[in-house]
Amino acid sequence: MMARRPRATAGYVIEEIDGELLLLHPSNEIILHTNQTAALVWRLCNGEQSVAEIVALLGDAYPEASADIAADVPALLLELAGQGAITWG
Amino acid sequence: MGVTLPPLTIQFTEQTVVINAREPWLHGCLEQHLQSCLGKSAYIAATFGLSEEDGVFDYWRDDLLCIQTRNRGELLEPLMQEMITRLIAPAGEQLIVHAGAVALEEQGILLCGGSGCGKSTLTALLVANGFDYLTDEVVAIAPSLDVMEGFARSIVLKAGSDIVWQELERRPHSIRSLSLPNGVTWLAPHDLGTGSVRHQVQLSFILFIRYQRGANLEITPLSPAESSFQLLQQLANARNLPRLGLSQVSALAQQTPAYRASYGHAADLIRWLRDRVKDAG
Repeated sequence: MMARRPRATAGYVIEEIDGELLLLHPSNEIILHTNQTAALVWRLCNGEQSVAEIVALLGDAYPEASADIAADVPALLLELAGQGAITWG
Repeated sequence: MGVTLPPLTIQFTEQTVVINAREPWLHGCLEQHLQSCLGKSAYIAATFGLSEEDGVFDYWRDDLLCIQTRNRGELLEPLMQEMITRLIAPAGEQLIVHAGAVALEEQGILLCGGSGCGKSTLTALLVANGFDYLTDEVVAIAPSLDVMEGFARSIVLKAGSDIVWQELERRPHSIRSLSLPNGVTWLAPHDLGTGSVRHQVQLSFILFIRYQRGANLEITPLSPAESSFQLLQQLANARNLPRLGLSQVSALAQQTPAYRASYGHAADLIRWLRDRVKDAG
């Protein structure tokens, strides 16, 4: 899991409001809403960084929350994958 | 010599449908329960026909025979649904939202929620308690995002709306209603309470409702993003709008307060709504 490289699914129409994201895919009309944290994680999914690297990046940026980040980010990515918002490289 | 029944022209926003109901009972029902929707614009979106011969009732749409039945009541629900579909299909820059809408003291309240969440039931209860009626089904929000227009048909109650009948039992006067197959009832809003039937009102706030029998009232303010997410799921004309309506819905949510309301007793919610309107007034 930690070595996998998530990539944000292309084609979403995106609207950002106060750091939260609304994602709407025209082909299947799926609508997603992410809070500020999930929005940040989604934006880091460029297909080049692994899950471990994303966790490390966020942990460096928010050291006080690094334990939560290590636990929550992989689970969040699995959820985003389940909703079709990311694919695995 | 038979009586010629005039066509009924039903208007919503800039669209019109024409109903040629050639059977007197059907004509009377539709005229009564769509009386606040009568009007005519330049664009005719569809023409419907209802007729009877030898005890068989026909329902036509644009010269295509859709339904034949010996139970004339079976024609009305499909007609209502298709009529609304045709009225909202060509919508231009407005946001068309599946929602109820009421007003109190010039403040418009949008009542949103998924199918079966109790929008029509709540709308009927609010109207019975003095709120003005706009619609229980579909709202058009102007491109300026401040004014909403409701399709002011009769309120359509499905089976299980007992709470409305309990409320109405206390009323001294009679209420025009039409019972249809599958436990559906059309309820004329003019008869329910002291409020008026309105067509347009300023949109003041949005309520996403959830009924849970016996539950205490819980009101949660929503962020604009959360409100947008919920509204998008009720947006009927996304495909006609730039960026699937995302920008407009987002702008609406950023300028209009929204709340999630979970309730088990309508009286609690009605009390909260009155207080909210009073505080904002």
